[in-house]
Amino acid sequence: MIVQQLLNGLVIGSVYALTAMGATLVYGILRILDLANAGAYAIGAYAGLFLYLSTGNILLSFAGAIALTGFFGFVVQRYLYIPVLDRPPIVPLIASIGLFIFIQDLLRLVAGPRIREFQASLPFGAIKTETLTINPTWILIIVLTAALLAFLWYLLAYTKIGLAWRATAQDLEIAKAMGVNINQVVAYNFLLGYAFAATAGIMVGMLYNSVFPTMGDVPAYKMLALIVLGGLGNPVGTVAAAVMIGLIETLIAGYIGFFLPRDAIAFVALIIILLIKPEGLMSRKA
Amino acid sequence: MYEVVVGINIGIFILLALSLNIITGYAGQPSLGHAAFFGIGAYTAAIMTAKLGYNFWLTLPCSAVTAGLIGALLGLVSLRVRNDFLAITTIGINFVTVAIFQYTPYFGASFGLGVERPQLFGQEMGNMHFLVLIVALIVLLCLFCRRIEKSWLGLALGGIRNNEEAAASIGINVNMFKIIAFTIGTALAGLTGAIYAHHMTFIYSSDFAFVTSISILSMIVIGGMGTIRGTVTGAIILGIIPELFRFMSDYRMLLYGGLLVLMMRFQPEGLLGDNSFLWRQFKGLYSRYRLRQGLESGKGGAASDG
Amino acid sequence: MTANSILSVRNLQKHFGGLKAIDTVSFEVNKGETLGVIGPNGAGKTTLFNTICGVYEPTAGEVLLGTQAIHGLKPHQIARLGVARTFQISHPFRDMTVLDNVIMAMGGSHYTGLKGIFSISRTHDNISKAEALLAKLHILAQRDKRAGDLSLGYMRRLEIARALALEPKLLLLDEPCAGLSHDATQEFIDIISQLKATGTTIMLVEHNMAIAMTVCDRLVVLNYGVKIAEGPPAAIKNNTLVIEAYLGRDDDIA
Repeated sequence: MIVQQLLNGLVIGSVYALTAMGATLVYGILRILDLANAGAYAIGAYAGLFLYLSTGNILLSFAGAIALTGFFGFVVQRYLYIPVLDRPPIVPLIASIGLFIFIQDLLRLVAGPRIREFQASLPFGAIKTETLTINPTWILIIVLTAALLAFLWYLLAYTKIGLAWRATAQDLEIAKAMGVNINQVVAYNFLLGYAFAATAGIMVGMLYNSVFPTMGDVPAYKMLALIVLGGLGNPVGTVAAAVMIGLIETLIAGYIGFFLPRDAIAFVALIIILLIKPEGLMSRKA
Repeated sequence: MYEVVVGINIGIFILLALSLNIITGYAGQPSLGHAAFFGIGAYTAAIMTAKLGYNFWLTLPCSAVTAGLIGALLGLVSLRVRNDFLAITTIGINFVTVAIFQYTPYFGASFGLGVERPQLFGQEMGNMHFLVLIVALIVLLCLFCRRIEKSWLGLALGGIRNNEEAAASIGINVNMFKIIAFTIGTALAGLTGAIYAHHMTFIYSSDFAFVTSISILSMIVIGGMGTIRGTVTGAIILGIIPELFRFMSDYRMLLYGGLLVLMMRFQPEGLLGDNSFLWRQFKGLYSRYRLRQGLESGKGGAASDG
Repeated sequence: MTANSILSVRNLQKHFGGLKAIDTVSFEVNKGETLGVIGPNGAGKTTLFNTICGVYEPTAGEVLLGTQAIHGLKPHQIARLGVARTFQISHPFRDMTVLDNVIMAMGGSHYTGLKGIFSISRTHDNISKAEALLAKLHILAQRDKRAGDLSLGYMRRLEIARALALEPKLLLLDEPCAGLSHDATQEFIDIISQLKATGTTIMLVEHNMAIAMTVCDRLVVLNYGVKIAEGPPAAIKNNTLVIEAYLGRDDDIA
């Protein structure tokens, strides 16, 4: 039973990690809190669902949704964020909130307010032992998240664009002066970040068998809490915080019980952390 | 009667927008959880009259003090993180506050809390009385904000809004002034909550959710952050749009969201902010008018102040 | 400590982790003089500057303003005691007028206590005082402009006007000529000379040796966080340690 719960927590933590990663990357270089990233999560879920319903191919549905949402991310940074970069930080922040609200309402108007089911058949079955059942969606989530995070880690650690990203995250002005093409770094960043969000959206849609316009609400707020808990724009910290919160939520909800809904746990954790360790759990600062 | 109710709703929006403007407009601290303090005020007042039997007029200062104290505490905690993370902390506060209202039986949980209309000279306060009360408060609050703008407090908050390091370098205690702004802004939201509760006679946790916070923020952003005229205009516009365009009510959030994006992209100063297109046109016209008047009356001196 | 010392830095140390950015540095700034702190990139000049202003807390050592210890105080407290500073990257209050930028620095004791903060700031008295300062820095014509719309040179002047509005005992300038054109630099040297002539005590952190040689009465040279020389410009010019420090770093003396 405890293993099952831990696994459940790991699955949820994986989804949180993917969702928060896009926003973490953006915050890391632009110092913008990109709430619209959670809009991309909902867009990805809808795109994935419709592609799956029309083609019946889950691979195609992932690929199509990721491509579409990634392109959307590219458009957003090019025509919304880059032009307002030299404004005070509240300007892109409010723009992202506006965009998030806009996306949600657009999805509601286009696809309808009702909850849609997302029952996908995966090309592999459940893993069953005497005490434990791991259903196919769980396997997909854990494997795909691990693969994507490994890919991201490789990208950041070993490639030229990763080096440029790290330099920009250290100091945007100095990176610029050193000849890093900031616009390119930002473009890749959004492509990747929104693609991650889309993947997370599809997987959550499948996990809970539901896709709906406001499905990005809770991830949006939680994602922000995770960025802080993870040390303000530090990808590794965000993953650690995401998995930790996933586990804590599952264990508290499963064993102890809490007087508030489980989605409030991340915020309570956030407030406690702010009180005792304001620089986040894994700060980049020495 | 319908107009009076619309007037009260807009008036409450104006009070909320003006109070948020002190935190976000003057001091530049992005608060996305202002509705939480509105709610804290409303619940404080509702509990005081409905459960403890106190007088309505006593709830006004008490709601303000309760919300202000919690606001000061939030300010104190938020000072520990970097400026833009205040946005997250405030969302968190909003979320947790609403969850507490929604899940605690004493606060009526999901059933909400009911209160009775207060008495005034032995008579139940009607909508008109509330409208008068609200308008009077708006006038007082505008005068208060004007005083802030003219005082050292206004300058100190402006310094913090622009650059905290530079503000400290001229002797401004940045942390202290942030807490002052928080305390004043949240206390005024709490006061507004007390009036709201007694006007509505029923409050639900969802009245004070994140969406409400965003609506208040949208008002000051669209009108022109940091100015009284902009804040009031923004509250009136966003308060009246849903009434004028009832047939469009289904598109309200789409409109809000779209407006926010377009505004930030093309006119982040808001409609009537200090450096906005409209305001610059207006000032240009005004100074030309002054100049012409000066020439006509033969006083050449008016030209020298340009 | 000499009788007319305004600022004395005693055995000051500032370490970041294992890095000794400032390693046991001592010097004095005397009343009415202009002291230059120079050194190649990474010598610890900016760290020294920020430690004196209270941005960093020193690891060890003392900073005295007159006879009062100011190390460990917060930047706003140090400012109120009479140490005014400018920034290497200009930090004007961008969306406020040039005049307001200066008046803000005249708040002093009004910034404490409820009665003070609600009292009127733009009194006739304060406006004319601020205008006098703007005139002194030759930017009175810009008084109603938004500070963010000024050119870099004007922003630097505004920062000095703002710093002077504190009526400081000591004015700290952080590379005031960095990024300025040749002509603007000349104008700035004139401004500093004019301030000197009116008796302002200045500590200037400067990378550019030529500027420091021109305007300073005395120089302190830092290298790798250590003071390697101190004395009048003429002596520093021929100091072999200083020449080595600058040349050994592949750095132009400019």
